Order: sequence, then structure tokens, then C-alpha cells
Amino acid sequence: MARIVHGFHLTKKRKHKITTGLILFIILVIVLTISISAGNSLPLLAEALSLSLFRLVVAYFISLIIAVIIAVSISNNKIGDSLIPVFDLMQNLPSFALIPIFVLWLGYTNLMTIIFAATSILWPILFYMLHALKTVQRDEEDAAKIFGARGLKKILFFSLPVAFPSIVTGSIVGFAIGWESIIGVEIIGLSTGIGPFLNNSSTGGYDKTLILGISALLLVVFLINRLIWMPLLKKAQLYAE
Amino acid sequence: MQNKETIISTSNLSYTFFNEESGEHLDVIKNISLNIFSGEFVSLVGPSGCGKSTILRILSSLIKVKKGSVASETKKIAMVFQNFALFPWLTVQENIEFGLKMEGVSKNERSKIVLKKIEEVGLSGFGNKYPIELSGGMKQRVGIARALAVNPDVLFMDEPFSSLDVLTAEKLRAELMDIWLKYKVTIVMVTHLVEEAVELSDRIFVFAPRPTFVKDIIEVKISRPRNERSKEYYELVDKIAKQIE
Repeated sequence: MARIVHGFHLTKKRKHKITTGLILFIILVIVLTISISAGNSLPLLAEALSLSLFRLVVAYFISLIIAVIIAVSISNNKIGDSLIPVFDLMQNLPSFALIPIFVLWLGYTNLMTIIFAATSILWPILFYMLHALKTVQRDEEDAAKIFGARGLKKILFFSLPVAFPSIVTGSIVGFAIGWESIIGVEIIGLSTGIGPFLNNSSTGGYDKTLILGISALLLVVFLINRLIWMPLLKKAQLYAE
Repeated sequence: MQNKETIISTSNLSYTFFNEESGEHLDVIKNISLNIFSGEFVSLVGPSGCGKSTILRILSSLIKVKKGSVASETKKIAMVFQNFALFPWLTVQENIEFGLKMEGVSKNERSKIVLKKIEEVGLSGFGNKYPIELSGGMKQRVGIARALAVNPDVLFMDEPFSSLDVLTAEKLRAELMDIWLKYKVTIVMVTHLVEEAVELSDRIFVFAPRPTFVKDIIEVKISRPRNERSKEYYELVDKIAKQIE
């Protein structure tokens, strides 16, 4: 939540926009300067970063689909209600404690990284959605029902729009957690992706490459926030009158 | 009125509410039997919290009952809500056409109906606005237009004017009367304002609370348009108010 509030303020005022632009410019200068002086590291960095981003995006969409299915099913029936404490318990489990189980199952592979990240991204989206669907105004739900939104129509034309702001909020939090999970697993047991790139730079004493990697990561995170999450948040404000 | 065709009737209707916190079953409604005739304007009045809205939701099949029965001859129903219950993510136009869209009415047909309804409720030029951009009175006009768009034979109204200022409510009541006279739709309205019920209704069901039962059924014989300052109007208002106290 703090991220979102921060995000709003970051771009709300003109002064903040100028500051943001300046930071972005400085990061770009750092990336370009270091990449020139650090030789051939830029293609390697691009490959590592895009691989990590690919893993994250796939994990995010898996989580999103599962979260939507679970939230919609649970909110529409009373039996599903009793599963909420189970999910609550599961989300409290430190996700990194599950790594050995995933390794045992899939080894340190691309698939393992994606599925592990998906299990950590899932919870914020699911719980934000459940909260939205459980606290929906009775009158609005009655209106949907009276005017014929039942079954699949209710899900498509009522439940999903009602949950849209919470899906966006949950996605922002989930995506941030997803970065941590992906990079964490990559550093621990993989040889590809931005995690190993940063780790190798650090252990090999390549300071410039390390700064380059972190700056590029910052740039990507910033651009995703600015180009994807911010417009969606703005749209979500409309959904939550 | 007795010659009229019954469109909704209930027989020994009872409803128990389960309080999850205390684990107790509360009798909210007990043995209510009533008939609603086709084309009439009925009001349900009673003290606050006496279960009027619950009865409305039972009559509209939003709440299923386990004790007693509800027989309904309605083909299509619609509802207008106290807090408007518009969908904030849809424009005025999209809100009004919501029911039609659920019915599978074509886009062209929907547009025609919506334009007509927008004009009818005096919202021309506001079709592309979102509910957040509208005043309370305008929101309720959208609520009424959304309900009329599906061409219902019964229109349920749950305290439709309670969230509005006095002047807007008065204007909308007059417009509702025109709509009722024009469409001959059956209207079942919940209100806590006795004056409102007397101004608009053919019959008034007076409820008493805990558990709710029908205390009286009053036929309003004052001719329309009703003069709110007339003696007979006030006498009737006083009579009903005394029963509610």
C-alpha cells in the first residue's frame, strides 16, 4: 500500500514530476556511461534483465489467473468462505522457506523460479480481491442480480469490475514481491538472470558492472510503474467511486 | 381495487435472521400474507428497522424464504435503490443499458432505448458522464432510467427519495407519478415518510416491528393530483403516523 501512496505523490505534483525526470535522466546517464567504460557488459545485462523480467511476467500472469479464479469462486459461495483462514495461514509462511521444497520437486530450473515466484505474487492479489468482493455494497450486488447479471455474466460484468481496483493494487504489491523472489532464487541457485549478473559482479569485484546492473534494474522497475501501474491506478480510481 | 389481478402474493411469510456474532436466530418477519395487484402503487411503511426493505427483497426474490410462500406472476422486475446503486465504472448510458445488455439486446436497440430513457428522465447531454460526476438527484434519475429501460411490469423502490434534498425529492416524486401514469407499471415502494406514501400510493401497508407483521392496510381514496395541504390528506397522514409511533 505504501508503494502506491508513494507512487501517487511521486507524479501528482509538477515539482515531483521534475524530480522524477531528473532521477530518470541521472540513471540513464549512469547506465550509458558505465556501459561504455565497462566494455561488453551491456548485451549481457540486457539478456540477464530480460530473462528475469520474462520469468516475472509469466509468474505474474499465472498468479493473476489463479487469484481471480480463487477469489471469484470463494466470494460466491459459503463453503469457500471456510478456506479463507487456510489461505491466510499459507500466506503467512515465509516464502523463502519453501525454496527447498520447490528445488526437491523441480530442481533449480526456469520453471521452478517461475512457480516459486508465482506462489509469492499470488497472495496480495488474492487478498486484495477477496476484500473487495466481500465488502461490496449489498445494493450494488442486488442491482446486478435484479438486472440479470447471474453466473458468468455476474463474474464478467460485476465481480471483475468491482475487484478491478484491488486487482491493480494487489498486482503492484505482488509484482514487487515477485522481483524479490525471482532475484532471490536466481542468486541462490541459478546461473542466468539479473540475480547472477549482480552476484557475479559483486563477487568478481566488478564494481562498475554492479552499479550498471542495479541502475538498469531501477530503470526497468521505474518504467513499469510509470507506464503500466500508474495508468491502471488512474483508471481504478474511476471504478472505486 | 379488489377486481384487479394479483401480481404478487405472500402467504404466512416468515423470515429468520441468523446473527453470526451472537449465534442467535431472530424472527424478523412473522406470518405476513399480502396481495399486490397489477398496476397499483403500493407503499410499505413502518418504523425504522422494522424489516420493510427485507420484505421488498423477498417480494423481488432477492431473498429466498424458507417459511411461507411467495407467488409471483411478474415477467420482469426492476429496482430503484436508496443509495442509487449505480455501477461507478460505467457511464450514465452504460448504467442505463446494463439490464438490456444482460438480456442480450443488440447494441443498436440498446442505444435507441437508452437515448429515449435519458431524455425521459431529463439527463440529455449527460450520457457519457460517470456517476461520480453527477449530483444525488441526477444519480437517482439514472437509477430510475436503468429500471425503466428493461420495461418492467413491477418496479420495486427502496426508499428512493431518502438520500435526496427536499426539493429534488419533491420534483422526482412528481416525475415518478407521471412515469407511473404513463407506463401503468406496478410500483412497490418502501418509505419511512408517511407523507410520501400518502402522496403517491393507491394502498399503504403499515408494518409493526419485531417481528414484523402487517398492522393495517390503508386504501388511499384521495383523488389525484393530491393536494398535500388538504384536510383529508393530513387526516390520513396523522392516522398512519399514529399507528407507526
